[in-house]
Amino acid sequence: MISFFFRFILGLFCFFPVVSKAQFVSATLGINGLTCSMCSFAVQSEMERLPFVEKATLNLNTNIAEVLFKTDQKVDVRQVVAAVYKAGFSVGYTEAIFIFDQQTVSDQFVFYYEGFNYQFLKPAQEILNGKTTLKFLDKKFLRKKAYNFWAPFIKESSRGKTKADLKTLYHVTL
Amino acid sequence: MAQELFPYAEAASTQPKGVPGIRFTYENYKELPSQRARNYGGIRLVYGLTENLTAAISITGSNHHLKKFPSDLSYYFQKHHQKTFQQNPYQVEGLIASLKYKFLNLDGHQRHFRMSLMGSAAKSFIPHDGAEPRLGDNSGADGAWIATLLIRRFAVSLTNGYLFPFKYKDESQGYSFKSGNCQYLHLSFGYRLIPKAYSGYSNLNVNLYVEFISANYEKATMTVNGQPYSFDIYQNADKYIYNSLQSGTYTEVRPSIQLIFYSTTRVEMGVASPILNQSYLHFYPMYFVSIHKNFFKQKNNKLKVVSNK
Repeated sequence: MISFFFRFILGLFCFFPVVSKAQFVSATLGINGLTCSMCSFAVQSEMERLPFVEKATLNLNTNIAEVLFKTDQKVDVRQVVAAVYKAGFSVGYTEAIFIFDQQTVSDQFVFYYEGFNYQFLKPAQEILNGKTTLKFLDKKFLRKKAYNFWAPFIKESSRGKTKADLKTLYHVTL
Repeated sequence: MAQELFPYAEAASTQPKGVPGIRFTYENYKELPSQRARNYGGIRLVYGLTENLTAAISITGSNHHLKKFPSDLSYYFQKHHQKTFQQNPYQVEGLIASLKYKFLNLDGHQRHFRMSLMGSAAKSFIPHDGAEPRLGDNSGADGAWIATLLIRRFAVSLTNGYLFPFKYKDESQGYSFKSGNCQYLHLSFGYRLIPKAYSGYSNLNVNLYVEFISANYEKATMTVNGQPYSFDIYQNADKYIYNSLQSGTYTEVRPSIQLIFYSTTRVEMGVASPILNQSYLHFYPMYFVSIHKNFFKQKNNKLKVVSNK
């Protein structure tokens, strides 16, 4: 009974997000389905139209997109991913660089940044300081096979959350 | 994707959402035996309604047809390819509207497999005079499925469709003419010759294509004042005319070369030649040229040249 009570309290704390002092710097996306400059041009044009994107460059040979964000705008990674699908292609992986300030993270840890919650899945407990690469795990943020590995963990961590919560929640790992 | 931008066939890929494009197509061949130049032109506007749905509207024109069937049908069918016959006027021939829906999209690193369904409808303003139908020459409807595989610099696409031409009616003269229903198969191959590796968006792309066009269509039927009009009288008079009104099957090949400039504009040119029997929509060789431009909404309206070394 007592151990259940402590587990319940611990679970609540895991969801209550910590407001982060992080800064969102940039994102890297592996784009699938591309084979030529005409399609890459469509993807890059779509990304650069996003209001919070300072600059987007797509390597025409590796199909990796580097997206640099403006520092004074709210960043929504979902819109960057959506830009790829809007152009007619899909995403193989999504990573983003956050600058952390002595932040301790562990499995299920959630931090809040500019309107969105970011929940860690399966990282080892550690203290994040400085530029850190986060890997996004939600559907459409990575290729299907990779998403299928994370899907059960995402489903488990989404239990009890409302639709409104899930709309502003990202699942990430290190 | 450039190597799947086939000059003739539609690939399964769709236009990016919110991106308009425009395409000019020109075809030319020499009519036999008159040696007169026959020219055909089309303008096509394309728009990505969603990432999976593309709409297009086309207007076509040529000097292939008269404004209407003349009163002396026998003279017309026997003589209209002869030098002594009156010149056909240049005129707008038809309007075509299309929708393409991509229902399968399997992407990998530098590869994809896609499938689409495409439907088209056309309104024609002229009398087509052959068994083989063509949207724009005929009013009608068309439906097809398309499968496209692209791996690095190579693409192959298969299109299987059915074209149902509507009956042309000239009530003032009591004529009706119907081309045959047609099933068609397109097999298209594309290969990006250069660049082998990109250094930027301004690199010139050169793609090579070979497309095989096959069709199987029913015979044409005609009535005059409600009575069937027989084409058998032309069997001995002009074999070409007679054959053009009968059911047929053929395969032709269309090799072409495509240049893509600044990743937004493509120009292609090629020639059509028969392999098995022939199409009666045109004489051979038939040359074609087309230009297609996409209008991407860029933030700064500038093309960013990116070094990829």
